[in-house]
Amino acid sequence: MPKISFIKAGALGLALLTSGCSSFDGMPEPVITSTVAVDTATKNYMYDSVIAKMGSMEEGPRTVYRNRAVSAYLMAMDARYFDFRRGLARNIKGGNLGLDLALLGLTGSAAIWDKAASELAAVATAVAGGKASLNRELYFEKTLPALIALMEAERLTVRADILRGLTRTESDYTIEEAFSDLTRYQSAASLDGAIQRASEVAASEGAKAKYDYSKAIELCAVSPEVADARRELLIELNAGRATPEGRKSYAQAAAAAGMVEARPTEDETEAFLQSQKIGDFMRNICTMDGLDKYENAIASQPLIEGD
Amino acid sequence: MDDLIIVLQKLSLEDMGKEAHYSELNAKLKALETENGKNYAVFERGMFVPQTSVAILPKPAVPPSGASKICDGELTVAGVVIDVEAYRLSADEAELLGAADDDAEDRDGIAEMTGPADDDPADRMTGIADDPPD
Repeated sequence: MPKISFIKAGALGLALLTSGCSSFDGMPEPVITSTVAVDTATKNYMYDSVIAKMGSMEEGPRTVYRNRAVSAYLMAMDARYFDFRRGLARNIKGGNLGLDLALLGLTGSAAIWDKAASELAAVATAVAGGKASLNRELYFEKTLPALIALMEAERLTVRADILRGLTRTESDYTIEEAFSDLTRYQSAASLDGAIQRASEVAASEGAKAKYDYSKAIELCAVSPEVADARRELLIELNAGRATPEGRKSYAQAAAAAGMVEARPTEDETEAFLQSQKIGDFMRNICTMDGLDKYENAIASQPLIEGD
Repeated sequence: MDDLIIVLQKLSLEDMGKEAHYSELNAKLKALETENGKNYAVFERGMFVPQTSVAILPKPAVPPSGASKICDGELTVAGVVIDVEAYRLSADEAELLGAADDDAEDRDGIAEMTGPADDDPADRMTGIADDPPD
């Protein structure tokens, strides 16, 4: 095989490799480019001049101006983030497709052109190795979606803080606080931060307790009214434990819930057992009628002398 | 005493949050798990009655304003296992979502009567034992 053909094959592979980059962003071209958005924010709302300008404003206009400045920066940061996301998608999709096509071309050529087979196979191996290395180095293809999700979540959390702040007056949420939050927002778009968060999530997953579900109980469905009434009664009973009279009622409630020889007590262990008997019983009260019956049963319980 | 575990029977995350909260009677939610298509809520036992409701959100979630995180977990919804996060709503947020109790002022009154709150401000410690015996 003439040497020129080998060069052509290489050029073809290179062309395929680079062509992948331009066509596979996986998202549309931005209408407002990051350059425009960033220029607008930094030229019209320079940090120093914003602070200086707002110093001489009344409360109302100050709030409006703060919101405009912060919104401009949010837009600029979003535009930059869009570029960043686009770059990530391009690196992975374009890089992979280009290298896959190059690999196919080279290995295919090796099968056809006998004389160049060993050279082409060697180049193909290098391309395959390069692809593996690229994926390993560039944002770990498989984990990237998870990292992006974590990054997005962090950005949304900070963005929610900022948007909540913008609903308040400038005195309540000052421009300095807003700029501080904007810095947090900018920092949230970081793969390093997402990796750290992923590690924390993995650690908490590892420490997740396993429970014995054979002991799980099924409860009846209750209406909000019954649920509220149950809770109010229990709060009242728990609150009453601060007094001797309340401890008597508590013991009666435990007895009405089926506890044998429940007696008024200041002992924490005994009180805890009573509380659980009451709680377990009340979780199975599903109607207002049932709750009334329980209250009547509490009142009619004979009292056993306590501590 | 063993953890309290209940089977969640509601089908949506919103309803499961309410269902879990309704069971917080001398107990408070600490974990959400799923196994073989069934959903479970696990509770820590104690003499406490959390006042504000629970919101269960698909992960990753933006926490409701003022909410405190209870736990991460997994639940099966429509046959699909999803990662979720459970939050204890603040009193204000719970009222906005219509999940609060009837009268916040009454609750505050109870809190004053019954001493200091737990480290979680959403809880009203209505009794004595912060750390119940096992």
